Amino acid sequence: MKASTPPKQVAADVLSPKMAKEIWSGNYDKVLPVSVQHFDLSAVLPAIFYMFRFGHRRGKGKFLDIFGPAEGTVPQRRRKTTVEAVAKTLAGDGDGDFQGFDGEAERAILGDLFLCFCLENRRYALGRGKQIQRITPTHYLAAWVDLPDTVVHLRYVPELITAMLANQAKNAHIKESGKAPKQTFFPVVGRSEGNLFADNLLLKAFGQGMSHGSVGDLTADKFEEDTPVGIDQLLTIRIAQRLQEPPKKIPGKDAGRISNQHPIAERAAREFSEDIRKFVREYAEVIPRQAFVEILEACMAVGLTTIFTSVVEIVLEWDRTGNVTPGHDQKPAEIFIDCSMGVDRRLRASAEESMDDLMRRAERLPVVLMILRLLDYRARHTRKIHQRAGKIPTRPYAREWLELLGNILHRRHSQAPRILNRLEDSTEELADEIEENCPEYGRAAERLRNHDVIPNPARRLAEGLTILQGTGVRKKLHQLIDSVLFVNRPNGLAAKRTTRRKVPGSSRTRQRPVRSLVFTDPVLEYLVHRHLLPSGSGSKPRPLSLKAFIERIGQRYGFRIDTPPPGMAISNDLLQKNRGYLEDRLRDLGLLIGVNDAEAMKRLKPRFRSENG
Amino acid sequence: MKGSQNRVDWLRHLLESYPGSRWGNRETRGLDTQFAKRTYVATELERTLLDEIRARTVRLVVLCGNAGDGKTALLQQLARELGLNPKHSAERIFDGVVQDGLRVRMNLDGSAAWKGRSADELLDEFLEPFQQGAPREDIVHLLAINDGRLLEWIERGPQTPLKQALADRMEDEAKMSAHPHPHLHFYNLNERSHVGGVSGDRSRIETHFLERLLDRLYGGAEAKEIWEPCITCSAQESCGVYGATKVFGPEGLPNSAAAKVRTRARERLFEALQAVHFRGKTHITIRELRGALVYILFGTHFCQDYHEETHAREADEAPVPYWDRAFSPKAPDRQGEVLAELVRLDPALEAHPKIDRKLLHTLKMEDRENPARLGSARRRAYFEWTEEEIKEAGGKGPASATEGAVGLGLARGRHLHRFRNLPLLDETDIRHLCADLCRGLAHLGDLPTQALDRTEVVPLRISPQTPTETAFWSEKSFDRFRLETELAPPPPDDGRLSPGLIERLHRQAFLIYRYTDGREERLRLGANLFHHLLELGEGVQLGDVSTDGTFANVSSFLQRLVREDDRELRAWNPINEGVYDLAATIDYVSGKPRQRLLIRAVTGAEEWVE
Repeated sequence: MKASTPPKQVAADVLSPKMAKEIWSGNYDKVLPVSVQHFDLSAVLPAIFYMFRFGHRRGKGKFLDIFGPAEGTVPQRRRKTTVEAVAKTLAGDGDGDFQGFDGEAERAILGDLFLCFCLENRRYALGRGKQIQRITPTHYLAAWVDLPDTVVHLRYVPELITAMLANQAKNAHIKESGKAPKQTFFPVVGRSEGNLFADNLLLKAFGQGMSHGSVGDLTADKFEEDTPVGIDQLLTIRIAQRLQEPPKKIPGKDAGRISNQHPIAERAAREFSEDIRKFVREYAEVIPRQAFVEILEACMAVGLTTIFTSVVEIVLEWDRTGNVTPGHDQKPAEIFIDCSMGVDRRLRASAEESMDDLMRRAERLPVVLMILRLLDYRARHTRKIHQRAGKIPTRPYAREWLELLGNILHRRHSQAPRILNRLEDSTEELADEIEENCPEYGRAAERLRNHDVIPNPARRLAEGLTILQGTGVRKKLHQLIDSVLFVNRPNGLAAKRTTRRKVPGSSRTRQRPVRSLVFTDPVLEYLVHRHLLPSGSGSKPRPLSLKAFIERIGQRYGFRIDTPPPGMAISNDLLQKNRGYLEDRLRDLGLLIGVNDAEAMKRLKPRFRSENG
Repeated sequence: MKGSQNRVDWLRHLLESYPGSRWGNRETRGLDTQFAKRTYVATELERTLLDEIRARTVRLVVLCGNAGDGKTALLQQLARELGLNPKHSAERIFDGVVQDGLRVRMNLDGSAAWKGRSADELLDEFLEPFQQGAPREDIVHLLAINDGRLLEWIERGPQTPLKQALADRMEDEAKMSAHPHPHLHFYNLNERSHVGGVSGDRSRIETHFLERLLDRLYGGAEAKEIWEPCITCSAQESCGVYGATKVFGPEGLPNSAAAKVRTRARERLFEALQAVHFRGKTHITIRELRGALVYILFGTHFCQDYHEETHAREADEAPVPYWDRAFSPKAPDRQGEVLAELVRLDPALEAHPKIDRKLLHTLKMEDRENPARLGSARRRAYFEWTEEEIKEAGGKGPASATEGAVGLGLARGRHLHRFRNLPLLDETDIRHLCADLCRGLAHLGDLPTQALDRTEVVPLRISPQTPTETAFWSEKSFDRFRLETELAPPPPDDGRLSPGLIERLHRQAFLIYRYTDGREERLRLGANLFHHLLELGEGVQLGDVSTDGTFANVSSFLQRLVREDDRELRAWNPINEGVYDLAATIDYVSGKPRQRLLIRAVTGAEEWVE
């Protein structure tokens, strides 16, 4: 029996190796400039610090060399780089930075201090003998530590956030802000004569005691030892200093550059940038540091979720019409929030149903992104378009380019017949190839030949290729969704659980994960504090009624609390109950005043007052 | 069957005043009905306002509050007292001249449009003489309005001295003294408590209003006459009203329960209503309060229902005794926020082995296996057992000096009396209470006994990112904590925006921490959190999911406190069960600073156990 050919090889045989290499992916950065797979949101901030300070992506550092064992393969050495090893190295340095940590108990306490404040084990495992995977952002110098060991594991999320905050409208890649850093709250690299740790809001918030050295000198930044810092910060500083220098940039011509590609969800990206800027500016100094990090991560979860759900809506609309929704008309998907945090089963069920609906729509995303990749490749390799393509800007926003691809998909472009005919040929050829060399993917061949139901060859080819890519694509999409939602984390935006549901028409049950959006305490704290800030540059909290707050987060993030999302029926009683839960929780958090039944008198109040407000 | 099938017509009026009544709800607004006038309870506010209007020391009275707070009724009552003939509340604007020539105008509902004119137009016109200060004419205007609506009016159009004064008062009571508006009196009835108020000398919580309201509901001076038919009624045994009347009716009714039982039952009823207030989730308006009392005391069935036993055919509508009406979630026709809150305080939710055993003996054999029967018995005993009876049945309670009722109180109400009495405590008692609450804070984290046994300091557990075997904590001096209630001393009565004439009862307290630089951090304590902290301090383990939200505010408060001196920590490790000091210090070597992290074993029991 003839051995089956790997699906990617089949695609390469039909489409050309070059094209297959480009399209055999789950990503399309002109729509969503992150890798569609799992990442850890809690590890993102140190990488962002690095990019702001050095203006490029982080490469390999010395963490493994300094704290890992000298012998063994790299994976073996990584596994043995533990909190115990870090404590042993630092306490044994003999320079007196850690005094009295010689005994067994003292050394154990030092290890636990690292676990308590700044280092995290792989998969959040317990114990001092487990592999370290993350460093928490207690201080800017966490950026010197190459954890996770390669920045690619963060799936371009730090790059995306850096690009959105830096807000460099005209550049294809993020550049040094140069001599006019004051034009932005988030300058990159900074001026030779300036101090990035004062100019950049994020670095200012985390860079206590840092002095800015020469712009080009990696080791020029110093921590001023006469600046008192908390024990948690001192631990991070000592780890970084032991490394002697920050990681170098990723080698390679373009690998180290930070793409200035923004997601196609312009409005959500702009609002996220505004949210994080205002929040950091007003509250970095007043919220206790550990709480601030938690809330900042909640802020990123909210922002990234809104970007993702907006992208889903925009991409599905593009598939339908070929047009990209204009920025001011873009909306995130509307999702019902379970304000009871799972205590009320009916509310939880409604929130899960709402999230299921989003997941169903999001599952179309891999196919549409495949359509985009196919058309993108073919368009760039069509002479008449190629000649013009250089003039179409794709960074920071690729709206015009996507509109062009939409016109091709919907046969409104002069080159559409040519491109679609080529894809039609590929469709037929791929179907033949699959039947011959890859029969276990017969479903893909069926789909490729299904002219009646899917007349457009680009869609047909995309569907066939997505099936060929296997279930991993769908799994990775789910991982991305879980990552942006920061699912099941104490400061996350969603809860996930596994349920058993009866298979329709059968006595069997099937296990499946279900998700529901919830407001954890840090998420609530973030949303309230953010929206108490006035719309301009002022800091004084503005009056905000509960009603106005609910409306505002509904419009901005698509979070539905006392109204059902479109297409869902939720009883009025249940909606009011949900609102009641929100009221109770806000009151418990000290964020709501008044037990008045006059809606206008139910007002939100900040627990932390900005220093200017 | 003994007696005859009698009926009490007054009961019908009572039943109609309950919003969830099966007899239709006629009791909605002001003093529009004879029944409303007869059951109206005047307060010190009406009496003082009357004097001030007659003396012309006030020219504009603004009564603000929720719907049902009694604004309209208060104005109608004032009109009656002034000798004017108040109209039906549907006639929004009322205009009259008192005998001495004073012109009195009242707007009974500033939130509503009337006769084709918008509410804003009416308000503009009504308040025009006061926009810039005191009026020139011999007039007094009285306005009743919902606070949300008033706020909208204030925020609309150009600002005036009047709007500024009202806005300040609504935002922040403390600002009121800054405004020289002696002619303007502003009363936020939302701040008024109908379920008790701290006496002027802060020696007790007074419940005069509730006492009089209960008496009025029973008919006041005519109570004996009204309820006389019950004495010979054949439905006494099954009547859900008769049983309650014996216990809650005013003095002098025939067949009443013993005086100590009646006093006790009223105290317990008021305690439950105050607990609803302390929970802080709902503001108890007069309308809500009357509705809840009518439901608890009189139910929803009329005399003929008992005589014809119509309810026997529909089990889910069968009348239940007053104690179940007060607390049971299954009591039929239950409606309203106060009654919903009472369910959470149901004495049947708790248990006490000795008391419950005694109660089981009072039940029929076939009912003893039914938990609902025991629950019902607990509810009844809550109202009717005296302090002594509870102590006798339950034995000695925990040493926490809870005021009696050990084992037979409201659910999660063991420390309610301490919360209730907060404004009455002297400095020493407040310090003790503060210490107990701090002990609760210390028990929030899982700390070793060496940390918890320390006196004069409050150990606060540091929550690790990843759970560790070492426990870390920070210590705060106990002297830096203090406890305050939200109830400010009553404002002086020297003619400003809001004289202190309304009965007030706190809803929250504050645990305040003073930093070394003098700044302060405040933790808001509702009755729920107060209860849980005291329970924790006594060593109770909390695992109930319903407590999750309660501590949300605490963790942030603790984080802020811990941050104050994040260069010092304490640690305990199980390897040698030793306690250690950890400190970051700045040393100077050859003139250059260098930060060090030092660890020092704390030896010697004297340093740790004082």
